[in-house]
Amino acid sequence: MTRTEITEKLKDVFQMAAGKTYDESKYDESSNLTTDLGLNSVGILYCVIAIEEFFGIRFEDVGFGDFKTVGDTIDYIEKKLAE
Amino acid sequence: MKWAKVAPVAGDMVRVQTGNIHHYGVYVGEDEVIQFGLAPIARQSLKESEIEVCSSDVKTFLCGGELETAVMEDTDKRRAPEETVALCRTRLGEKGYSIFYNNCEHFAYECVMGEKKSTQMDFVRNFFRQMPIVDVYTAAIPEDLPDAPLYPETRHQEVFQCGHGGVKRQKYYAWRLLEYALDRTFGYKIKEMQFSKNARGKWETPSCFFSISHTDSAVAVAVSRKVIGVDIEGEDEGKIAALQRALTAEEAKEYSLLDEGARADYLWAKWTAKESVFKTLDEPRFSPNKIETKDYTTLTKKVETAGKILTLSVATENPEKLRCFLDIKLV
Repeated sequence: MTRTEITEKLKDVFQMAAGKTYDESKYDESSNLTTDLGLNSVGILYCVIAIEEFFGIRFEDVGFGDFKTVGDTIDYIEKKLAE
Repeated sequence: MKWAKVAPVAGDMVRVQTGNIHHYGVYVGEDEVIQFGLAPIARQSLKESEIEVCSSDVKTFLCGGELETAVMEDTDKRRAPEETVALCRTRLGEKGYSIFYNNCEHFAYECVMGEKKSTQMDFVRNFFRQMPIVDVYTAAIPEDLPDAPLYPETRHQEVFQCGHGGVKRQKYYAWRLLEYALDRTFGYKIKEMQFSKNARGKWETPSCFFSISHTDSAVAVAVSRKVIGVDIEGEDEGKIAALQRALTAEEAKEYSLLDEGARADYLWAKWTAKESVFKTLDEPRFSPNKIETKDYTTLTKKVETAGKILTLSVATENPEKLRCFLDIKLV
């Protein structure tokens, strides 16, 4: 899966996780998940599960702190997909 | 300085026990004591505004009690006795008594030692300072975003740099609620306080501990003299199933045994407790399914704010001392 494909797929994940508070105009690799996209902690947990389902990967634990931006999340998914 | 039952000489600080407290004065010689108000026994009790620096004989000063004299040590700094006596006389008739800030002990210390202090008030103050404070405030988030500045300025910039309008408002009003909470609980004025960010990017002040949480429509702030974490949630009903992933194995077992009707409350309680615990830990990563809440002292309750019933948890040393101030109106 290319980085562009991951980026596009992730947009849907974040949209679902942020719900009505989602602001698509802020979506790019530098966007901060909380301060730009409006995700709260429950939303991030929801994302973790959605990413697992969308990308067929498994997080060792549902810890937050590994990714703060959309770019970090893509890096993480790319790394997991390559394993 | 120590207290002894010895005869005083002019310029000495004297005291007498009346009930649980001591009444203080300055012996100025010739059987005379100058004091800020007579001993506060019932028949002489006056309003603070009526109390004045007065003179009496030793017998009146004592009210039947036993005289104690302050015996100075070499290291104690005191005024020359004649200076003390002269100062006491110039202050006769002076008013402005305050049990907290300007009482008979403050007067005696100032005249004899040159320093205004009250060991009795310090004792009371320290007693209260050691009492656990666990105050939590909640407020609905107003629709508008005023441009009134937040203090410190770096926090203001940080909040206004938020790209997401909703999050910006949440952060803005959370800091406003913090300002309110610090004043109401401790009497601290935020502009007079020092704030800095720690290595994890979390705001701190040397004056006390605080923690902040926000949902889409409400903010919560906890303040304490001990490390404290707070979390408020309850609006993401659609995502509640995801919270099962945040449970430890033991909690998941407990959850599976619950009636259907009790499960949502359980998940919100565990989630908010875990987040509040995480906020008290100096760790870079929040792994909710690795936090056993039973290993920490937390308290969870339902609170009504912004017209919604939300779940609120605090993690701190004495959560049972929690005082809630709900639905504060922010402007």
